[in-house]
Amino acid sequence: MNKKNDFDMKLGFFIIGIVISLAVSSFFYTPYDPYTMDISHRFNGVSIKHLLGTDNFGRDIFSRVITGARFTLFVAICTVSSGTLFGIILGLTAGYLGGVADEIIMRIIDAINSFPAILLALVMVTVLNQGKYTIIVALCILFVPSFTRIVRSGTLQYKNNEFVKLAQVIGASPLRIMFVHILPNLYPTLLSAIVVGLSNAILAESGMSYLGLGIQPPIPSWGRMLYEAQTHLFHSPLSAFVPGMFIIITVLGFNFLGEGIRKRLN
Amino acid sequence: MSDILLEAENLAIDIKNQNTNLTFVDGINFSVKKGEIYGIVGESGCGKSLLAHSIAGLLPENVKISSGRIMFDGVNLLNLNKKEFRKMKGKDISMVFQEPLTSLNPLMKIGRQVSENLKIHTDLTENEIQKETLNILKKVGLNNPEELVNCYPHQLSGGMRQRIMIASAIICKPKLVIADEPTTALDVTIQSQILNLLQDINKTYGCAIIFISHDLGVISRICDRVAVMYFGNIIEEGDTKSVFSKPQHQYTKGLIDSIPTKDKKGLSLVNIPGKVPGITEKKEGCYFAKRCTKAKERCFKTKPEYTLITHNHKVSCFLAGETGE
Amino acid sequence: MKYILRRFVTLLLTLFLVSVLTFIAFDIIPGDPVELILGTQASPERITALRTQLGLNESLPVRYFDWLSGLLKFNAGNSIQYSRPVNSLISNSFPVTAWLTFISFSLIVLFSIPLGIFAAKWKNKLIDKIISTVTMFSVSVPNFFLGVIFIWLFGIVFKLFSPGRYVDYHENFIGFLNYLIFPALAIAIPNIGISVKFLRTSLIGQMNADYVRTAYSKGNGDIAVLCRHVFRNALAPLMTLFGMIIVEILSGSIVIEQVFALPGIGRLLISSITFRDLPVIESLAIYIAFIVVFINFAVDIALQLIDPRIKIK
Repeated sequence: MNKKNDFDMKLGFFIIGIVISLAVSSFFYTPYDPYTMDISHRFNGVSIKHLLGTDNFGRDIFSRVITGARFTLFVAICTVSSGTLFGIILGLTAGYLGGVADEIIMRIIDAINSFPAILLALVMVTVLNQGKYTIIVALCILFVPSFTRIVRSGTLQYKNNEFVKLAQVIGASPLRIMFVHILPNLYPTLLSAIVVGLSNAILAESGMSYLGLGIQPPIPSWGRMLYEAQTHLFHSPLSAFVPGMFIIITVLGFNFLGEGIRKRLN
Repeated sequence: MSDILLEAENLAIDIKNQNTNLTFVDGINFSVKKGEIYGIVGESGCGKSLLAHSIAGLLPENVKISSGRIMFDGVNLLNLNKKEFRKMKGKDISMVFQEPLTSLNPLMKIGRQVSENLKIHTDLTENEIQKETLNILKKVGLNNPEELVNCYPHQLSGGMRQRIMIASAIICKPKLVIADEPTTALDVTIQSQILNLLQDINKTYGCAIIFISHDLGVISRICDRVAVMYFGNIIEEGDTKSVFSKPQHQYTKGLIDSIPTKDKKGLSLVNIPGKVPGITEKKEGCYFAKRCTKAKERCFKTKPEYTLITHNHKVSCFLAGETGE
Repeated sequence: MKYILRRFVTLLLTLFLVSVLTFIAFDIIPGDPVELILGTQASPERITALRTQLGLNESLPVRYFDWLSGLLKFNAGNSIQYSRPVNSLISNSFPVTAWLTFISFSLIVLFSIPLGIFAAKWKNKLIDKIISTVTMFSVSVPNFFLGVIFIWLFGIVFKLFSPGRYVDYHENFIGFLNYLIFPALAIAIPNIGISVKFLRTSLIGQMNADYVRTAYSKGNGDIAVLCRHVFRNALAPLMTLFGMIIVEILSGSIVIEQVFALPGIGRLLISSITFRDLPVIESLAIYIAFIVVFINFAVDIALQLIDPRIKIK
């Protein structure tokens, strides 16, 4: 059993490690400029010159995909971390204070949850109007409800424990009890939720970009690359497969990592 | 016909864990007479529940009976196929479990759960089943059976739930009821009521009861005979009176000494040093030797025979019969 | 009964909150809707006239109730892009999404229930490991990429359908359903993964429950234990799962309709967002959210009927 968990975790770390190092290296070096078009070399196949071929504008797909990794990961990390932050604040407040605060927060969370994920993101994009950081704010909202729920139920579980009562007797402020005494107990659960959240964020971001409402061209994003390649599927399925495969592999990496963490926690 | 209802001979039970195969319960011999209450006592993890489940044919998939015989009313249970065995379960042999809340189906009405055995094993009409169900509920001391049959388990108290379990176990008038720690999860007052009920049922129906418990007090109160288990083996067996007044095995002595009683007031209670060995630990000599204060050299090397001390008392200990105290 | 009543109050409360949130969100959108409709060169008189006509000079609560009563009467104003009543646009595209949802849902149920049972029954055996691995992959594939692969594989390579040549349900219903199979499959596959995982866990939990052991001790066979005892206990998590899945399908169809160029709700939504056709977006958002709220309500009521232990918390 233990061996299998470690395998899941190692595989996850390995995959994510590769994707992150590709993304980081794209800051310093890409084989070609990811934005330069070269119509004479459109739809090139796999070759030594172009590792993963070229797209409909003759841009090097490999260069674009690793540059895209940078933006996709950036958006995913920003959205999940801000979602976690808001989730922690709201969840601790609702769980620890209870009563009216709990009722208000949870009813609003319920209401937000009534919008299917992608619809909520789309509405947010509409409301916020398209801008550079719109996608981050829109996707952040998606993660607030689930993190709030997780933190709230964890808080309820620890709220009546002896160590919390002791802190109350000593006279610790509610804020201190919430953040210093209760929160650290929730780290393991939060960790696995964050990892799963990252894989969901990547799926959501690429979905939004595919719809043309995420990262805006010419910045390469996996979802948008896939959309642009779809029109030319007949000539060059490769330019659609490469970004698609990158999404799958990255998401798989986070899922393996999450699975490993979850099993280790049990 | 002999008066023996159930007889286990050289019973060995294997536990398969991942790739290892462990013989846990090993070479067990015991017999239960018709209509008696037979107690099995031991610390948790000694294999008493496993033994009970093996008789009732309820072992989990990774646990197998690897050798031996279980003769029940002249039939070897281990030779029966699944279907034949199933016809006896709940009819001739039935069980009462420890945790009545989880052992009852949470989403099935009480009436249906109690009458289920009749439905499976008899051809009675719906009406007759209904009548018999109400009848048996009254027998186990439940006052308003007409209302109860339409209740769900979560609506009842712990004691009532255990009465329901017992009602369902005896509705087919079985020859043997196996009660696996039936009172452990209950309050002391309720415990006593349930024990009375079991004794009562034993008398009115004449069914034998195998009563499993870690509580010596409970065992001494209701059992005719008792077997003491330690680490997968029965180490001592005999009439309850004889075992409790003249314990032979050092382990049994330790157990009895650790019961707080009136005349020990003021003295510090004896406790048995060490703990039950892990299941993977190597078996050699007397299993109890490591914790035994009087263990001799041979106790560590050879396994003591299981021998008759008097006509109604058996023990496997080299030190048995010695007058130590 | 008390539970249902209380749940009904929560339902109304959630509906209210959803509508308020939506209304406020669309109210704070920068940009004047009048300007959007008339263009920037319109005369001030016309602007004032339209503002009054649209009720934009009223206070916020008044506008909210006007808007809400319009919604409830299925009268949500006109689309800016198409200059047609929003509701006629929605009712035109609704059947496509409804059928897509229905087919995806059937596929999910059809595949996930047996696979979940197999995985649970042969827990940790080879078949379970294979199912778990496939499940892991299926939840990692974005549905739109599956859609693109299907278009390429079944449309271009095997020519099982003609991508982009949507068949209208009025003209050829069988052809319409045929065209929907691959989109439905693209929505279903990731959800099958989720469902199998969920079912496996809850079935294993049920099969190890104490009451199952009791049922065997009474002389029940495997099938009787499964049908008489486990089934009803497993039904509750199944209901929860179905509720979850329908919401996921709605989400998935928004994207997949775009991939396969299906003229459903999702495509209407995306084209409205691109055009900033606010009345359509707002109505779609609120209708879809209402559907989700009602599904959750139905699931909770069903759970209450299945499991009498669920009471007011």
